[in-house]
Amino acid sequence: MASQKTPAKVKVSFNQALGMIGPYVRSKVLEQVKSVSLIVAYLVLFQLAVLNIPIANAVVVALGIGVVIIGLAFFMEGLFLGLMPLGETCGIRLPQKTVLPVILGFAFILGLGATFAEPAIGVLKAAGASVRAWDAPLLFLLLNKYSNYLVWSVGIGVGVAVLFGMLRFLYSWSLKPFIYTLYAVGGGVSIWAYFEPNMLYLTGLAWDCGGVTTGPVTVPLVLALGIGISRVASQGSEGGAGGFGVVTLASAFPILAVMGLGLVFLDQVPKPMSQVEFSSPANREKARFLFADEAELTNYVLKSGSREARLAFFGGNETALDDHVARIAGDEGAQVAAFGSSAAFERWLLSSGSPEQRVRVYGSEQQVREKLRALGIAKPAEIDAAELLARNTVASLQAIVPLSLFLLLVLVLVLRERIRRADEIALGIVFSVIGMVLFNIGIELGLSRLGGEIGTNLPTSFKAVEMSQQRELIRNFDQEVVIKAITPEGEVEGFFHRKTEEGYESLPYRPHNYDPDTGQYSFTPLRGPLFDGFFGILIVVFFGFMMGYGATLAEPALNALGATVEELTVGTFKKSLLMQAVAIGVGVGISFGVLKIIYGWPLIWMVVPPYLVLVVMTVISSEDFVNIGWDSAGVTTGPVTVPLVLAMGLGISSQVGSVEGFGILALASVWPILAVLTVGLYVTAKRKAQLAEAAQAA
Amino acid sequence: METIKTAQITCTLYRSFTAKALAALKELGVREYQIQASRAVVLRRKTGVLGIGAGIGLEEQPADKIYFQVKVTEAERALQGLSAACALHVPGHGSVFSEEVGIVEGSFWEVGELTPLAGAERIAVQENLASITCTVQRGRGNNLVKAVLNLGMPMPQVTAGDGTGLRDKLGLIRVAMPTAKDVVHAVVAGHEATDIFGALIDAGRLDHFGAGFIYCSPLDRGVLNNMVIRGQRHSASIEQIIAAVDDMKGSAEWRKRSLEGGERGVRKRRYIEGQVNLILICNEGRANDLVQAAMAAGAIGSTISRLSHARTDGASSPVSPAREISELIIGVENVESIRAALQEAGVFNRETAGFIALKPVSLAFTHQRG
Repeated sequence: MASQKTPAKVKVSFNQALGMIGPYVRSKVLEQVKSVSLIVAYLVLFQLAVLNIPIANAVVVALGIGVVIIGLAFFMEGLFLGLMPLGETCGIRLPQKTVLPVILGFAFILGLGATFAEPAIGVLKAAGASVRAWDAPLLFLLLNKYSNYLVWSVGIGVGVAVLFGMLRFLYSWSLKPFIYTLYAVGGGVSIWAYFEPNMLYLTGLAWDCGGVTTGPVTVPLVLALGIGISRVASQGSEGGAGGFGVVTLASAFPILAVMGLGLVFLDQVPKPMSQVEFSSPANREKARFLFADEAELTNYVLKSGSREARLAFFGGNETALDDHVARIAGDEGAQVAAFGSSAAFERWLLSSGSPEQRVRVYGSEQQVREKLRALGIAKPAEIDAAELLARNTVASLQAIVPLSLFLLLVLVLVLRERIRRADEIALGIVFSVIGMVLFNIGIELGLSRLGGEIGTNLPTSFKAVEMSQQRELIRNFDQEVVIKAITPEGEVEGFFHRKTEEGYESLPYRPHNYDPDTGQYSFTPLRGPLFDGFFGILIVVFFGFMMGYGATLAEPALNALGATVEELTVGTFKKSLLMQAVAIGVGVGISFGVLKIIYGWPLIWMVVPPYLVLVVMTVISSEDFVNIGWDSAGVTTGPVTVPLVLAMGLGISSQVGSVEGFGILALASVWPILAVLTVGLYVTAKRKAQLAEAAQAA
Repeated sequence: METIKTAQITCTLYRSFTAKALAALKELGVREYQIQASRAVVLRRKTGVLGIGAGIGLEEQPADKIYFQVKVTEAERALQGLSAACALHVPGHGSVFSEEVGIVEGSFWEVGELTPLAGAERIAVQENLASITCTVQRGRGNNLVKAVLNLGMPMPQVTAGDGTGLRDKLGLIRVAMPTAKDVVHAVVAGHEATDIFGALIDAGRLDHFGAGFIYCSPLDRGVLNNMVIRGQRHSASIEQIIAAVDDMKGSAEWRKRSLEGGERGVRKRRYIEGQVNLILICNEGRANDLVQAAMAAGAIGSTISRLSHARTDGASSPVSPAREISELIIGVENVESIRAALQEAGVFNRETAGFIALKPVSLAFTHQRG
C-alpha cells in the first residue's frame, strides 16, 4: 500500500480567517442577489405600479426574500463542495470497479430515491386540491387516493431514465433516438387522450410531472454522475463536454409513466359529469372507487358539493340528509374526520348548510343568528415560526441526507474508495441542508406570498375581480339607506353611502350580500378591469413572460447546469448565454400558458406544434447542443418558478372558471429547448462560416 | 534517476478538426494519446451596425489539445503527418510542435514505430520556438490572451484547472480560497520569448501577490497557426503574408522586433532559474494525493487539469480514460527527492498508472517576497 506524506499545515489566525471568509461570503451572496433581484423587483413594481395594490405583509415578504438569497448562497456552495464531487467520484469509479448490472442498479435506485426526496411532487399534489372529483375523476384519483402510486410511477420513470442515461454513456448512444421515440409516444398518447375526457385532464398533470421531477438536488447529482461515467467511458474522440442528457430522459420517462398509470385505472373511474349526476346513487359504485371508503365519499360530497348534489347523494331524501348532518354535529370525531376540525364543520354549516340544518344543530334561529354574527371575517393565519422551521428542516433533510448517505455508502462499501477531502464534502452537505431550509422558508414567506397576491390580483387587468382580502362586514345594516339609481340601459340598481375617515363614499348595493338573519351586509370591493379588452389580457401575458424570465434566472438547478456547461466547455459556452436563452424560452412558454388558461385552449394544441418543430431542430443540431438544450428544459421548472407559476395559474383559472390550472409548466419546458437549439444552430453556423472564410483565405 | 529521451508532440486545434487529427494518429501508428478540452482565442474585427459596435473583440472557439510521445527520430514524421491531415499550414486551423522530454522509468506509456502518411505534401516547419504557460485565477485568462494577441502571437489556448499549494496546507478554511484557474498557453518564436515573457508579466500584473505563475520552456520545432485576427479587409490576409515570408526565409527570425519591457524587464525583475517542469499524469482522483506528496518533498504547488486518455487500437489498459495532469515547476536539486516521494505515494501502481516526464524550464516568475 502506498504511503502518503502530506505537507505541513499552516496555522491561520482569527483575523486572517475573517479576512478570507469576508470576501468569500460577500461574493457568494452578491451572486445570488443578482439572480433573485430581477424577479423580486419586477413582482413588487408590477403589484405597486401596474395593479396599484399595496403589498400585504410587506415586511414578512421582504424578510422572506432576504432569506431566499442567503439560502441560495449556502445551497449552491454546498452543491459544488459536497454533492457534485460525490456524484462525480461515484460516476468515475463505478465503471472501473463494478460490473454493468451494479452500475444500472445504482442508477435506478438513485433516480427513484431522488424523486422521493424532491419536494416538487408535493407542490403538484397541493395544487391538485382544487380539482373536483366530478370534473376530472381520474386526475382526482391520482392526486388523492392513489397519490402514492403517482409518486411511485414518477419515481420509476426517473429511475428508468437514469438507468438508460448511464447506458447511453457507456455505449456512446446518441440522445436523439431517445428524444424521437419518447416524445413521439408521449405525443401520440396525448393526442389520443384529447378524445378521452378523463385522460384529457390527466395530460396536463403528466407533462407537468415531467417538468418538476428534476429539481435542485436531482439535477446536480445526476449531472455529476453522468459527467463521471462519461469521462471513463469516453473513446477519447474529443476533450469536450459529455455527461448531459440524463435530465432530458428524467423529464420524458415520467410523462409516459403517469399516462400509463392513468390507463391502468381508466375503466374503473367514472366519466366527468355534473356533480349532481356524480352524487346520485346510480353512479355510486364508480364514484366510491375514487375514495378510500363510503364515509370518505359521503364527507367529500357534503363538504364540496352543492346543496343539490348533497340531496342527490341521499336519493332526494332531505330528512336523511338532515339526519346525517345532525349525526356529525353530535360527534366531534366525525366532524374532524369529515371537515378536518370542529371549527371547519361549523364554518361549513353556517355558510353552506340549509336553514333547517342550522336550526336543528343549534336549537333555535336566535342561536343561529348569534353564530353567524360571530363568524365574521376569517383572520389571516399567523406565522408559526417553529412549525415553519421544523417542517422545512425535515423536508430538506429528507431531500439531501438519504441521497448523500447512499452515495457515501456506495463509495465506501461497494467501491472501497477512500473519501478524499471528506471534511469539504461534509461541509458541503451541511451547507446544502442549511441552504435548502432557508431557501424553502424564504420561498414560503417571501416569493410564494408575493406570487399568491399577484396571482389573485392579476386578473383585475382584464376583468372585475372581488378583492376578498378586503372584504368588510357592515353590522346593523338598515335597508332604508339604499338609494335607487337607473343605468343608461334602463336597469335599476341600488347604492348606499358609507362614512369613512376621509368623508363619505358610495358603494353598490347587492341584495344577496345582505343577511336578514344577522342584519349584516357583507361588502367585497370590486377592482378592475384596469385595462380595456385585449390590452388587459396582453398585460397579463407580458407579466407571465417577465415572471417566467426573472424566476428562471434565480433557479438553482439551472445555475448549477450553466456553471457545469461553462466549466466543461472551458468557457466557450458561457453560463450567462445559456441562462438568458433558457429564461427567454421559459418566458415565452409561460405567456402561452397564460393564454391557455384564459381562453381554455386544450393543452395538446399548444404542446404538439412546438415539439414538432423541436424534432426538426434536433435532427439538424449537433449532439452537444441537443444534450445541453434538452437538459436545460428539464431544470427550468424548479422551486422558484413552480410556486410562482402555480400561484399565477390558480389565480387566473379561479377567476375565469377553468377546471384545472395544469399545463403551464409543460409549456415552460418546451420553449427553452427551442431557444437553446436556436442559439446552437446560430453558433454552429457562425463557426462554419468562419472556418470557410479561413479556408477561402488560404 | 533513469529517464528515457522522447519527443512529446502537442497538437492544438479547433474542435472541428479533432476527428481528422485522431484519424491521422491512428494511420500514423500512434498507440495512445491524451486529449484535453480548451478554448482557442483570436481577435475578431467587428463591422458593427452603421458603425455602432465596430472594433476588435475576442472570439472564442472550442478547441482540443492532443499530446502523445514518439521516439526522438520520429518527431518530424509525426509533425508532418498531423500538419498534412489537418492542413495546419492554413491559418486558423491549429498548431503542432514537438519538444524533448525525459520520461521517468516506471511510467505507464507506450510508443511504437510510426508510418508516414501516404501522399502527404511536405509542410515547412519552424524551429527555435518556445512555449509560455501562465496560470491565473479563473476569469483573468482573457487579459493575458488579449496581451498575447496584441503582441502578434497567434491563437493562444486556455485550459481549465484547479490550483493546489497554499490552499492545501490550510484547514477547512481553505474552502474560502477559490481553486479554479485559467491556464494560458502560447507558442512564440524563441528569439522573442524573453521579451514577450516580460510583457505578459506586465499585462497580467503577475508581480502582485497571488496573481499567478508564468514559465517558459524551449520547444524543438513546429507548424504554427498564424491566425491572430479574423475578418480580413485585403485580398491577402496578414497571416498569409507572414506565412509566405516565413516560408521564403525558412524561419521566423526576420520577425524580430523591439518590445517594451524587454531588457528593462530583465533588469527589473528577478526571474526564477534552474527549474524543471515535472509533468505528472495519472488516473483521475489520484493527482491531488500525489501533488501533496510532492509538496511535502519540496514542491510549491501545481494546477491540476483533467484530460482524457485513449488508445487507437482499443486494447485494454490499466490507464483509465479519465486522467489528470499537473505540471510541477521544481528546482533541479529537488527532482530526485520529489520523484522518490511520488514513488512512495504509489505513482507507478496500477491504481494510479502514473506517467512522469521532465522537461527544461528556461524562465519562471511569480511574486516573490523581498
